Amino acid sequence: MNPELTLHSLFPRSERLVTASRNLDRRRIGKSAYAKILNEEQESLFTFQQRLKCPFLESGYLNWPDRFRPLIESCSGLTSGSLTRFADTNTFYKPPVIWGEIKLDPKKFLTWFGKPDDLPWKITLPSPFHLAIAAQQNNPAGIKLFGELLFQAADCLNRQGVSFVQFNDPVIGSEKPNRLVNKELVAFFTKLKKIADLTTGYYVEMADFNQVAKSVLGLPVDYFGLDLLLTPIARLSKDLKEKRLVLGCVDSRNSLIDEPETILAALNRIFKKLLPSHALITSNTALEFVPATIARQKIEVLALVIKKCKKGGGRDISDPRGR
Amino acid sequence: MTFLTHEVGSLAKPEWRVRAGSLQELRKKDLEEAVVWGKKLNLNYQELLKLLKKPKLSPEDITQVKQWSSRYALRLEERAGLAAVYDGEQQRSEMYHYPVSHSSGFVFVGHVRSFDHKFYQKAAVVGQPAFRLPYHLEEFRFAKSMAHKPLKVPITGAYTLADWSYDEYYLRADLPIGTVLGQKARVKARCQFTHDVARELIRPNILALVEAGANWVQIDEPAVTTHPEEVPLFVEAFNLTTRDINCRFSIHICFSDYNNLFPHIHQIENCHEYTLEFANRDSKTLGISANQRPGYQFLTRFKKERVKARLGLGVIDIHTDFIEPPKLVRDRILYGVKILGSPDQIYVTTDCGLRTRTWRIALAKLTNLVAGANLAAGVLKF
Repeated sequence: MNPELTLHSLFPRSERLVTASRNLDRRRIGKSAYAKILNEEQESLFTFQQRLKCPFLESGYLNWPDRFRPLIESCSGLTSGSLTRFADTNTFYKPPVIWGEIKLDPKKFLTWFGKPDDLPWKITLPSPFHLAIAAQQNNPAGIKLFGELLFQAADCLNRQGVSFVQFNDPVIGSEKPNRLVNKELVAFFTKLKKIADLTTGYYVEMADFNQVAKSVLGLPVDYFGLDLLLTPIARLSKDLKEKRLVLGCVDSRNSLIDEPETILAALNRIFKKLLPSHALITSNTALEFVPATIARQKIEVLALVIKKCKKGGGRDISDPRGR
Repeated sequence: MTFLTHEVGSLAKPEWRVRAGSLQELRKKDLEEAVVWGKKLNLNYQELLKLLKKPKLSPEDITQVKQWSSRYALRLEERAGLAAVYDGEQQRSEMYHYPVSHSSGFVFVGHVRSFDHKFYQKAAVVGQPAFRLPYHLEEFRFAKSMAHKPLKVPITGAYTLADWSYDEYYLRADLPIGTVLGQKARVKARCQFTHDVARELIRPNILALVEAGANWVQIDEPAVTTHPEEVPLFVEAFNLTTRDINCRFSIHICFSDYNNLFPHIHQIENCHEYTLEFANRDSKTLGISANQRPGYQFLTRFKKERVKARLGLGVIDIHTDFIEPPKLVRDRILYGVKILGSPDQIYVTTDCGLRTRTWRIALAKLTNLVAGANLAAGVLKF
């Protein structure tokens, strides 16, 4: 049983970058001084992942105001709506509002990403369903529209070297997609297969995966992601057997450092039940909800779990880079 | 007679108070601000200037500067004509940071992002939450000595303090994951944490305020409806906090789906007023039809549920510099009366605190709140 480690979604800023961000807002430092600190932090995050032998490097989205803003600000036809609470957190975002024909400016979009020197490179984006719900367009046309946008986004990222795009969805648990909406989601992921050498994942955040398994398992993605803090393993569908999984194992919403043995016990149960062909372990949602030092400690715990898995031996899992 | 009017809590802190409080050099414009507002509010600002011009401020000087800020804020609210006032929370840092940093059992662990480049310091509970000193008592005593109007004291509620904190005490790191048992244990830990904050922290603070003469306390619970399944826990916390205390209590909740409060709030024992936000969602058109007042549709549910408590009707949007004309305020109130059936059930308030607005804007909005309330009372002959 040899899972591997990955980050996903927004990573928290260090206290140094927090101070720099505030100082930029208060005009105490200029853009170039801020950019220098941001770049240093970006490099540090890549180095951290390399040290922990992550098979994919995630950018961390350290300068993103929220999950949607880079997409919104890189598109004509979209503008930002009013500040809205993100799920049940104390973090807020500006949802997309459609005002015209949506077209992505790839050059502008790519400026939001720190690119690692080393590959493979993995990116987390919101799912088309999440975008559609946020934009109050929960209908097949809305999914299609945002699906087209995300296809453009995935395509331009792939041309820059991204080989894995994980689509996160924190709303599917509460806003169950109907049959027609689901049909559009299937169409979206089917179309993504046209992008050569792109691995895809669908990560169900902030929900019990079992409640949405029927909708999600029909999606033609390479990896299925689930939050183990909210998903009882005993109820996991056998349809997940031998699939590739992204498993959220540490609590991104609490500063308490998770116990490696507890995580190992849960992984053993999953691996015995589902015999996944590959598993990536990660935080259960974005680590932006804890301070950066805590976030790094939690990822270190996952790295320790992986070491323990290797010592314990078990099934080898195929290389994720082959499709 | 007219509608009872009040603000919700915070006002912006003037730069002279912020800079003095953080030992930064005061600029000419900061001192000018103190003079301009001192004149406007009829205060003996010369005393404040003398203090601000000191080359070095001692801790006692800083306390006095903060008290001056309280004076200014009290006078601003009184100048607007509000029936019940407070000091705009001038002596506090922030609604979460202040109570947590003045209590035992918590440790700040670092910054997390609220939105854009706004961050806040978040704490973890690391031991049993405990009362150290009543952290709003001195501020209340000062406000009481200065105010010309009745006071309403805002205090952050137990549910919000617990929800906005990490848990490193009630939760165990070795709780199983991927099991229903583990999930239930997490829920139990959360309940224990919230109950302890209510009982050991908020309740003693309120008792101290009441003993010092406070007769109206507003409990701020912005986190309540973020977890709809936990509204019963909030109700338990509120009841634990306020049970058998002889005081008028309001509950302030903003920017939420208020439908999630039902049916659970029928179990609330001692709530005089629900102060809720509506103007943020409303149109700026005059009129008292449902189409003209889209922000107030929740009132139908409030009426249907036969809630006995008063409704603090948010008629001022705190997110914009738009100065609501008195007639717009009037129509928002008249619509409220139309739906609820009686003016007796309505107090007139802002949506939330005005700390993101300048004092100039805050005073204009509050003045028009009062003017609008008087217009509505005139129409109703109330």
